[in-house]
This record gives sequence, C-alpha cells and structure tokens, in this order.
Amino acid sequence: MNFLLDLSTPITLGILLGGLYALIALGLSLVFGVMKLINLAHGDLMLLSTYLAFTFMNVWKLDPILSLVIGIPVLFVFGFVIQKYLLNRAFKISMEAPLIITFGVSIILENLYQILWSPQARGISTSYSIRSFGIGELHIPVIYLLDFVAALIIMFALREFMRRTYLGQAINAASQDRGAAQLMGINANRVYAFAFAIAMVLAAIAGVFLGLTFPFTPQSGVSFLIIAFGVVVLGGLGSIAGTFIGGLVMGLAQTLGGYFFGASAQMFVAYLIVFVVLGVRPQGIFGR
Amino acid sequence: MTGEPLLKVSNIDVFYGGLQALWDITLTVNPGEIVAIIGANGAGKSTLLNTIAGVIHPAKGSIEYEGGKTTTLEPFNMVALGVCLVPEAGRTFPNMTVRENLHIGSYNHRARDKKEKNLQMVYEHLPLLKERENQLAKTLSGGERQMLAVGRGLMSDPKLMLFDELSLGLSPIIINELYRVLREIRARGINVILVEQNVRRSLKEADRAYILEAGHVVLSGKVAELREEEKVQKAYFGA
Repeated sequence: MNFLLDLSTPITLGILLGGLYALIALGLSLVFGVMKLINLAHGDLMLLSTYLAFTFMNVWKLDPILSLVIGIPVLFVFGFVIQKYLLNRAFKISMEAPLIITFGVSIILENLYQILWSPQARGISTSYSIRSFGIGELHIPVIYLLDFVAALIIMFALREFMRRTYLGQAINAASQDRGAAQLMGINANRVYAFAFAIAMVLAAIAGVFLGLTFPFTPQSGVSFLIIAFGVVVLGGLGSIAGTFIGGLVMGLAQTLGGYFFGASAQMFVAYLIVFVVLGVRPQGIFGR
Repeated sequence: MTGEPLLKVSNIDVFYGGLQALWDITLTVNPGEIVAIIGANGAGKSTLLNTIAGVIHPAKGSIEYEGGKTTTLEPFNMVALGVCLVPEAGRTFPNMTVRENLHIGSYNHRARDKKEKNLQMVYEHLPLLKERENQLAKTLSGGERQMLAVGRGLMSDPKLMLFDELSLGLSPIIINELYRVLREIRARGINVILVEQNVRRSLKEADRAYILEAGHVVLSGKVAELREEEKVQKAYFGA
C-alpha cells in the first residue's frame, strides 16, 4: 500500500509532464506528417518563443504567457517564409537539401540567442509557476497542471482545425498524395507553407510553457528536439492522438525511471523505451 | 462545328523524364463533345491528359482553354478554371472518409459556394457514396474508389473532365455503372476527354477520337468515320 502511494507521485507527474512533451512534439509531428521532413530547427524555433516570454517578463514586467500575442504571429510568419522561400525550393533539389537547411537554421538561431541573451542559463518564474498544491500525499507543481491543460486545449483545437477547415483538410490531403491534391485544386507548395507556419504556432505555445517549466540556455533547442523526436517515434508520426500517447509514455518513462533507478537514469530509461519501440514497431505504437 | 472550341491543343511537344513522349500533337474539344484518345500502352495517352491538366508542361506548342492560354498553368490553376483530371486508379485520399474526399473536391473557390448543391448532385448520380459516407476511402473496393474519384472530380464543378483509364481493372458491372454516370455527366453539359485501354467501349461513348501511336496522332475524326477505316478495323476490332 505504501509502495503504491509512493508510486502515485511519479505517475501523476509523469502524466502531466507527458502533456507538455506532446505539446513540444505536435509541430514536429505535423511537419513530418505532411512534408516527410524532420525539422532539425524545431527545438530552436520553440526556444525563440521561450526567450520572447523571458524578455516579456524581465524587461516589460508582463506575464510571460502574454508574450504569445507577439510570439504566435512572429513564428507563424517566420515558418511561412522558411517553407516558402527556403524549403519548397530545396525540395526540388533533393530530399536531403531541406533537412540540411533546417540544420543550418538551427545553428544560426543558437548563435543568435547567445548574442542576444548570453549563454547563461535562464528560467522564467512567475508567482504561479513556482507554487505547488497538495492532494493528500501528492504534491503537484501548478505549472505541470497548467502545461497539461494547455496541451489538451491545443490538441483539441488542432484536431478541430484539421477536420473542419478547408485548409486543414487540404494539409491532410497533400500529406497523403501531393499529386492528387494538386489535381483537386490544392496548391501544394502554399499548403506546405501554411502547415509549417501552423507547426510554428504550436512551437510558440510549447516554447512558453517549456520556459515556465524548465531552465534553458541557447543550446537547449537540441535537448527539446530530442524529447520531441522521442515522443514522435513512440506515438507514430502525423497523428494527434498518437503524439499524445507518445508524450505520456515519454513522461511516465522519465518519472518512473527516476523513481526506480535514480534521477541520472531518467532519460536513459525513456530512450531505452524509444529504442525498443523502434526495433519492435518502427511505425510507432499508434502509427499506421 | 459551331463556335470556338472549348479546348485547343496546338502542335505540342512534350518531354517526360528527358525523353520525348509526344510529337506535334494537335487536338480540340468542342462544346458538348466526348472525345476519346486511344492507342497502345506507352503511346502517350496519359502524358497527353497530364499535359492538358497542367501536371506536365509542353516544350513547344500551346494549349488554350475557353480562349485563354493555359500552356504554363499548374494543375490547381486548371481546376479553378474548370478542368479536372480523374487520374488513373482514382487516387482518392486513403485516410479520409468518403465525405471528406468529396468535401476536398470542392476546394477551389468557384466550387465552394456550390458545395451543397454539388454534393446532392453527386449523391444522386452515385447513391452508393452516400451509403459509404463515413467510411475511410482505403476500406472501399477498387470500383467504389473509382466512383469516389469521379464524385470527387464532380465536386470541383468542372466544365471539362479528363478520365485516365476510367475502367481499368474493374468488373463489367462497375464499368457499366461508371459509363452510366459518364453519360449523365455529359447530359449536364460537362465535356469529357476519355483515355481508355478499352477501345470498343470508349469508341461507343465518344463523338470523336484521336488515335495515338508512339507519341504521334496517326488518325483522328468522328467515331462513325473512324470505324470504317481499315487500319482501325484491324487494330481494334479484329476484323
């Protein structure tokens, strides 16, 4: 009984953390699902929004979540431009060319952040992000709950967008058969640009909640990318429900791994599971 | 023929993957016509349809539709103008439902306003699609998928429909069903270009035909006249 009670903390935290991980991975999954491209700059682009939130709070003394008023449109436009003027052109050369471009974008951003915000580790702490609340024996940081609720809302909104709008359906169609989509009147390059832009909106939102939850440096983009990549591998690419499940497995593996084998083994356990899933079911747990 | 042709393909050369696939092709479609393109495998029939639809662009020559040049337009531009290609094997979106597939057919702005009306029309012509409305396209049979592809094409509110191998690999019952729909489409005033392996069938439905051989038009004319040609008789009717 005591054992179960002890476990309730890592399980609860793992599930809540899993929501944040799913949020981090949604944009990566969308871009891969539609364009079959692994966006190596995903973590760094997310970090742009994190630093924006940091600046909002420290310079302008505003709530970091409010920074999304600027972060969302900036990343939307940035994403649209990257896809339209860099990646769509690179796709004509080869499948590897756009991958290398995203790697280049990643390096440029990382250095830009060093110049603008220094290499120092930063954190965003607000009155609510450092508080926690108790349910019986459980102590849950408020920010974990906030992350989870935000993830649920965003996933629901994305699902509705993909199902109910012409653009969402066009993205879906172009991801299944680009040529046939063009024959149905869809300008695939334009739809790709919108898909990347929407993925960047998801990254903007994820970036703020990441900053509220974890400390970060200009190099953190890579570690966020690796988490997102693990989630996407676990859940299977391109499905929202799969990404959510992938996030939960990743979060639980981390907290339970930490509980049983110590904090230093957290990520090891998580990636061991990714490794096993890749070997046994390379299309992901929920992949088609 | 009265008035201007709806589609006028003039002296086009088309290259496909570095090789020339079509030589100096000229073809017209007049309002109200069904035109068939026939020929052996690899004669360039699909290439010609793809060129008209904007998937490939000719190296020489021009394409005019409703009096305007469309030679360099992309497929999505052509759909907006009312030219819709139903590709070989249908190519419906496998992970979308029947209804979603039809919905995406009305993507172009001209068709969006008429979506509900066109959906009713499609369900009227292809009642089976209504029964299967919520099924994923990948769970349909080959014939049902081809019907869905035709319905999806109709949702784009076309004035000219191009069918690439409408009946390939399908059962006689389904083929009859598809050709019934084809006649209904024509009765609605939609023009058709038909590419078919099934020469007898397409000559039965068409008003005029072009016969392709190794990328050249070797014969063309009214179907009734072509039937009398000795060459056609030999090649396609085994007489």
